[in-house]
Amino acid sequence: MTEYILAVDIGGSKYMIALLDSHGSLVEVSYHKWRTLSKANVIDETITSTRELLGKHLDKSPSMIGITIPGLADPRRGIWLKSSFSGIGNLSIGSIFQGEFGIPVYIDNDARACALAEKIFGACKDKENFLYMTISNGIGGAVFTNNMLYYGGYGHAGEIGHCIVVEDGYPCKCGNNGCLEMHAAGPGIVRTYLSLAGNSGPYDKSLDAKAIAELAKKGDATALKIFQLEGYYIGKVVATISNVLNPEIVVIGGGVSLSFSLFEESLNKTMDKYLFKSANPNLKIRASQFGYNGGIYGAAAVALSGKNQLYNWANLSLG
Amino acid sequence: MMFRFEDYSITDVNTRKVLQCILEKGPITKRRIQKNTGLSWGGVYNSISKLLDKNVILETGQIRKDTPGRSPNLFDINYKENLSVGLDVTLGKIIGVVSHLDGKCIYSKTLSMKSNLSQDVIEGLLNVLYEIYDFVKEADYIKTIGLALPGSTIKGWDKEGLEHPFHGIFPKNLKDLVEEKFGAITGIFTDPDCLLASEINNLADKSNKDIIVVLRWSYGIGLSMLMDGKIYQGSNRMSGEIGHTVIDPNGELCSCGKRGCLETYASLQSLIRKIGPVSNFKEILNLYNNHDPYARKIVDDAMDKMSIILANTINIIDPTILIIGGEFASLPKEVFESFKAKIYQHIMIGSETQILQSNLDDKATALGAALLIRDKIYYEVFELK
Repeated sequence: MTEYILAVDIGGSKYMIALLDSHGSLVEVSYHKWRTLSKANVIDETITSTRELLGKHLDKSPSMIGITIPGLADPRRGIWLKSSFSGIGNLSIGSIFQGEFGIPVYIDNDARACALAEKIFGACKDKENFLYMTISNGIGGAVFTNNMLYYGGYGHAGEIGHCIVVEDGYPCKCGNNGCLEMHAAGPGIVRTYLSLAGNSGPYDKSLDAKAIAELAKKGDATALKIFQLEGYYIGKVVATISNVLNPEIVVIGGGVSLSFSLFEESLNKTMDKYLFKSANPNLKIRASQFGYNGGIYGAAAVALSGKNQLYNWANLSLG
Repeated sequence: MMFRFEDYSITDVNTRKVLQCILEKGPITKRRIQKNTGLSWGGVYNSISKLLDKNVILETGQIRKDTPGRSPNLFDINYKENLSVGLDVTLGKIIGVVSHLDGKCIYSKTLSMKSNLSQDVIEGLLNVLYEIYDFVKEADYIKTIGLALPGSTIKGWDKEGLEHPFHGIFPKNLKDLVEEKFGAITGIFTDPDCLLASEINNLADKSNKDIIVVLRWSYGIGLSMLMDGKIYQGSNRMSGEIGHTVIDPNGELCSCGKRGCLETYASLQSLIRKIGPVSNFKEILNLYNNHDPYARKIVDDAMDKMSIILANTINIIDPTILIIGGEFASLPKEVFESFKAKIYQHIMIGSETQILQSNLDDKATALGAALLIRDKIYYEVFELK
């Protein structure tokens, strides 16, 4: 009998709801922009959209729910702990969804979820040690070691976005300067573009990383330079981490990864310079195959892995 | 607590439990062993018989009883006849130790080495072993020998030309050579892994859930990581190569062939070369403490660069504890606190990692080698089935 999963991917500017089967075949996915991103609204909007989608597929009742959230998550207790850009914190999203739908609910942060997706559905099925990073409005990372998702001593492993890449670089909300997130995530790309293009004024909301990527594809010299820098920043940090962890592969997902071809060459050149090749002769870096739906597959993977106790100890079930 | 090295196979789980119980609580009676291990009386009895038969344990006396009946026997480890040897083979010296099964060091020997030629290093290593065997007298008492070698030397067994600090290619059959000469089961480990084993052995308060990272900051720079009770190795068994993180690709040439690696800024080898004429870290520290401006500049720069790399490492691995070991662990407390502050400055806010200064002496890595080989091989030596 086919098992269905309800996947909820919560992002900073949008969210997605999807129904998939346990092999990863999508039944339907719906995309939504937040009307308002607040604690109350997040629950209202996602539950309403979930009911709408499920209402269209009454014959495909899901047996589990997976939720990905941006920021810090407590997968054991199903709590969205903190998200630096939304102000949402300490939200028991797991138990709220469980109360609404009466089936087991599993949550984790977006980066760890996507790493699980790569393991269960994607490029890392046969890999035991790998690094995943997601680059969109922020940068998150996740680590697989010895065939298990690695959480670290305090549940904070994988904070690749807060690795210093430029000494005395852009100030970060985490309190440091020069974090990778500030230079290589979407807003950092825009800031550097505006700076190089001679505009150091306030952040232009009409310009985003996607638009700059389009400019680069059309040959805009400044935009192309930005993506060269993108490859350089990511390569520097990935090389440092790879020297420590010696992974088999690095997979990059998130919105900015859709422009992977624009920074792949620079990324590889930087890796050649900064990576200890003798230890990592066969290390591959590739873009996630899931593209825009990475979070959805991540949410599904969190549920599957949690329910079947596969690759994460945080097999929390609130159902 | 016995350190569980990932590779060793348990052929007899019950006997391992009994041995471990005696190691931790001996001298001890069979009844108390049964209570502590949860094994059946028959299981305990059989395991004790095997261990007695192999001379791993001894009867050490009896408990006095005021009630009628036979007084129960006490059992303890036969420490004298079950020794593990560890060697730390590094630039400038070879340190050898003899340890009991419980990790207590009973002898050490340090040999200064003026030559870094591989053949001279091998000869030095063998000479230290000869001295150790002279001390122990009964060759049969030494059951295992562990050798700590600089990371890239050992990992490069089948990669000729891979960077290592000795001149000339290191022999691939070193393990066989030592086993043939001395008759003890021999294992070769990276020096950061050995230091990790020693630090864990020394930690008073630890749990299997701890993620412990140890930095060996010495002539070379390497990391070792304990995750879920095992040493993390990585996909090619080449994790922890923090010393070859490139800081400036146009910087000084590193022995690995790249330019501007962290080792060219922060290894003891590079500090000695830059500061000169000094020959060890103690002399560098003297200059630093006497406010020699050039020594201060070089050492401070080394700490600055190391602090960023360590902070990035902590952000990714999120260890419970990071221990700074090797020569740089002997930084004066106030200097170490300042270095620690630099690391915390760069770590993501909210990190709970404890950063500790190792309080082990220079025999720690050699002792770690003895512990690792003990745990890897010990049960196989006695074919406990």
